[in-house]
Formats: sequence, structure tokens, C-alpha cells
Amino acid sequence: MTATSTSASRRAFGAKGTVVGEPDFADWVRPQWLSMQRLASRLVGGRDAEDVLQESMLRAWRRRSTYDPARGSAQSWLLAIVADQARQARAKSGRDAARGAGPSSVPVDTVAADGGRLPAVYLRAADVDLDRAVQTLPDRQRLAVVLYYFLDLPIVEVAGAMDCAEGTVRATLVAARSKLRDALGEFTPEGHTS
Amino acid sequence: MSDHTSGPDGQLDELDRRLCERGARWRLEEPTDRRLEDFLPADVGARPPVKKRSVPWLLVAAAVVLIVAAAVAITLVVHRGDGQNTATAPSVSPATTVPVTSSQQTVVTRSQGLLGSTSTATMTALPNLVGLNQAAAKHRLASLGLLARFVPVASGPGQQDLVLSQSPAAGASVKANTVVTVSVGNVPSLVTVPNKVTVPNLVGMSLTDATATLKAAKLTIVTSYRASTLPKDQVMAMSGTHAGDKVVQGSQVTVVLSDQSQFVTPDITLLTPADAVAQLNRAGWTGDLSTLTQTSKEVPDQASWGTIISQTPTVGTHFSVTAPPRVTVGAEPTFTMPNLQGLTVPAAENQLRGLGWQGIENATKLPNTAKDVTLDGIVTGFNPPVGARVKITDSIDLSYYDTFALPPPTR
Repeated sequence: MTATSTSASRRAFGAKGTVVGEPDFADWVRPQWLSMQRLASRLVGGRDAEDVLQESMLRAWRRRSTYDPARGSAQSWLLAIVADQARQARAKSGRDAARGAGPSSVPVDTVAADGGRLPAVYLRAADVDLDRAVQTLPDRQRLAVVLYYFLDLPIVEVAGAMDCAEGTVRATLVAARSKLRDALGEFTPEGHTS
Repeated sequence: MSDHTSGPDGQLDELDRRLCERGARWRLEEPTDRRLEDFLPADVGARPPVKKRSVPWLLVAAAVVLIVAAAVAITLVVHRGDGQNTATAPSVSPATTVPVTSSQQTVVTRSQGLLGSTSTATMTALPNLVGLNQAAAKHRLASLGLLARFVPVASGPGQQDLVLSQSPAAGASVKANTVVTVSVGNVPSLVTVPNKVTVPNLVGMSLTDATATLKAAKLTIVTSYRASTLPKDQVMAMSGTHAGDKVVQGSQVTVVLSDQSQFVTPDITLLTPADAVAQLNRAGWTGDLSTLTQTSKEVPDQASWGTIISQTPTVGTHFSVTAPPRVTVGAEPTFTMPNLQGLTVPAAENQLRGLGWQGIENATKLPNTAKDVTLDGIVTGFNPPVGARVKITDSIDLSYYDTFALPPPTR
């Protein structure tokens, strides 16, 4: 998948300054659309995710001439934009809420905010604990966890989206897991038995 | 507690596994059905990319004011020949007060700035907006220099904010600044409140049907039973919440079900007790002849003897299927046998008739061997004996002397 999208993007975005039409741009984004939706949903929630996607598409469209296939896949380029927009949205809502509700109020509660759509399976209690713990991670660690575990991306793609080396991603994941263990430790029975 | 080595200790493996599982489950549950087309920027494909956003909006606004003023002045000074312009100009501001945002205004005026100075008669082919969401439709129209008036139209829950129709139709050639009327789906508020549902009417349903109906409405059922003659498990009433109520999804709805512990009492008068039991069993009663409480009452009417002359419960009463109904059975009247010894036969008969006796007399003449005629016609024996209870239709035996019962003397 990565190979085909890269070659397609070379065709569409090879020469700088080429005016690219709507169908080409849409077709170029389309293979990454699922990942983009997931990242937005996971980092912010509900209606905010729609805003983040809207802003991300606008930004991608305007900055499309800066995309360089040599530096990373289209997926990591687009996901980096989504992550950046989500970070800005979170910072903005954080300022709006005056540090009140905080970051933990985001995707766990998306059920009601999302136009009445209900997930097919209700969240299990353990999942709620885990989601909440992930919410409390610092931004970079959380992004790494979401990209690696929730979007199921390979480390190289995570590194591309986070604009850092693969080793850095691994280290960030180790730190994130360590923090998650601290947050969940007392509530994880398996931790004591094994 | 926290170790920064990535050594594969048990806890790390466990957490790693949990995160992987959680992620996989989340990917299955999370809806990702947004249409890419709804999120494309309005200017994709329409114009070369805008490199920077830092346009001096104050200057643009000033230019807009000047252009509008100039246009109004020209319109006033020259004549009202161009009906389209004068017609749309006043209608624009009231129609767009609600939906138009500052970004839309700027987009519109930008195209005015581009086109308006050279040619005001530029025609644009109207795109098809149906199926877009409101924001996308707004962007699309704005990018073409058109204005949008959004009209909410009642629609199904899946069509909230989606464009359902447009006027003029897609493909129509319109001038810049034309107001396009766009109908967008608007789900009635009671339906869009995500977890409120309407309680369906369940009265008359079976328990099975009511359970299924409530499940479909995302409600849970609570049952209570009440004595009734209705078929077992039929919903008699709803308690607390009623049909048409708006309640939170998952709420409990209490239904009152029939336990069919009662039956409607039929008319069993004029029947024999055995026939009455059969009749009661057909109506739902579970007892038999031994459970029927019978009392008898002497009545003169011969037709009522042996049949039920009154019943408790009365006809139409709802009565427990296990309780014993009480019936009164008609019986033949009786009297106490008097002493008839020494009476003449007619006097004895009169006395018996006076007691209500209607039976037959079996008279036996005894030969008057003493030839004492004073003894003739006097009752000497009778049966039943004195003090016995005699039914009024029983036959009574009498015996008396009769001289002429002897064979006639030979002359």
C-alpha cells in the first residue's frame, strides 16, 4: 500500500508548481482517509474531529507543493498534518475550558456528541480505564501510542508522522508504557500473578 | 517503579497485549464513514492554491464597501433595467443573515472583486449539491460566487445537515451572487436527542411481542402480574411510563401482565350440579363436583328440584379459577308424617293434603272379621311411620277395615 501510494503521489505531485486538479488531490488523499479519520477521532472527539479533518484537508491542499516523497510517505505526511491540527484544537479547547475539563474529556465521551451514533459494542470497563490512562499521557507519547496501537501503523510510518527517527519512536513508546503502567498498575491483576 | 529498559518483563508484555487488543477492538467499533468529498476545501480544483492566508481583510472589506456603494449608485442612477440585479440585491441580506459566516462573505466578495469590475453578467453552471453536508454546500457555492439560503426541512435521522434539494436545479446557469435555496435535512429535535426514545403502546400484546417491541425501541421490560381473566402473559396495562412518553434509552418499562388466575362466571342456574361443573370448567374453572359448595333448598316448583336455583359468584363476575363457587340446589319439599291411627280414611287424606302431600295412596282393605261396622273405614296402619320426613310426592300406604272386603255371604 505504501509503495503504490508513493508512486501515485510522485505522478501527481512530482513537479513543483504544477496545478493539480480536484480529482487527483482527492484520489491522492483517499487511501489515507481512513487513517486520517481514525487519528482525528482518537486525538479529539466527535464534532471536533470533523473540524480537525476539515482544517487538515485545507492545510494539505494549500501546502501540497511542499510534500516531498523522498522524505516520507503520503500517509505520514497527511497524518502529521492531522496530528498538528488536533494538537492545536486541543490546545484551543484546553484554553477555552480554562484547564477545567482537561484532556480526559475527549474520546471516551464521543458517543453522545457524535450525532447519536452508538458504537456497536459498548466500552468495557477495562477499556475505559485504559483509554483514560492514554488520555493522560503527554502529547508526544500519546501520539505515538495512538499511531502505533490504535492505527496499527508500522514504526517507520509512526516515525514519519512524528517527524523523528525510528529509535526515538521506540523510546517514546517505552516511556509511554511505563507511564501507563504507573497509571494502571494497581488495577492490573495480571501484574502481580505473573 | 518505572523502568526505562525495554526488557520483556511480564508486565510489559501484558500491557503491550492489552494495548494491541484495545486498538483492534476500537478499530472495529469506531465509525469511519465520513465522505472525503465533504471535507475537500471549497477551492480544490477551482483556483490555484492560495499560498498564504495573511490577506489584509480590512482592505478587502473597504474595497467591498466601495464596490457595493458603486454598484448601488450605478443602479440608482442609470435605471432599473436589469431586473435580476435589483431583485436579488435586497433579498440577499435578509436571506443570508442566519447561515452566512464571515468566511463566506469574504469568499463571495473576493469573487465579486475578481469578476465584478470587468463583467457583472458572468454566468455560472450550478453544481449538484444534493448529498453534501451544509458546510460543504456553503463552501461550494461560495467558491463559485453564489449565495446560499439554507432551509431546514424535516427529514430522517440519517439526513441531518445533508442537502436534500436545491433551487435552481443543478446545471442551471446563474449569475454571480444569485441566491440558491438549499433544503437541508433537519431531524426533529426529539429524535436527534441521542438517547431519548418513544415508548410504544404494548397493551394487548403477548409478553413475547412486548419484549421484542421494547428491545427494538432500546428499552428494557419489567413485568408484574395481576389477577385477570385475560389470556396468560397478555399485557393488560403499562405502569409508570405510558405509550408516547419520551424516555431515556435503556429505561425500564413496567408492563402489567395477566396471570389468567380468574375466569368469567357463566350462568349455571337451571343446570344440574354436574352440568354446571362442566360449564364452569369450559369457562376456565379448575375444580370438580366435589369442590362445588352445594346447599339445598326446598322449593315447591317441581321443575327446580335437583337444579341450581341460585349461584355465587353471579353471572359475569371475575372469579378465581381455584376457589369453590357456591350454589343452591332446588329440593322437593318434605313434611313430618303425622299419626293417622284412628282417623277415617278421608280425614287422614285431608290431613296429609293439608301438609302439602301430593303423592299416591296405596290403600289396603283388611277384612272386618269382627263384623263391627263401626270399625269400617278407620285407619289401622300406615307407612312411613309417625315422625318420618316424607317428600310430598312419596306414596303412602294405608290400611283399614272394610266389612265388605269379605267375600259376599252366601245367601
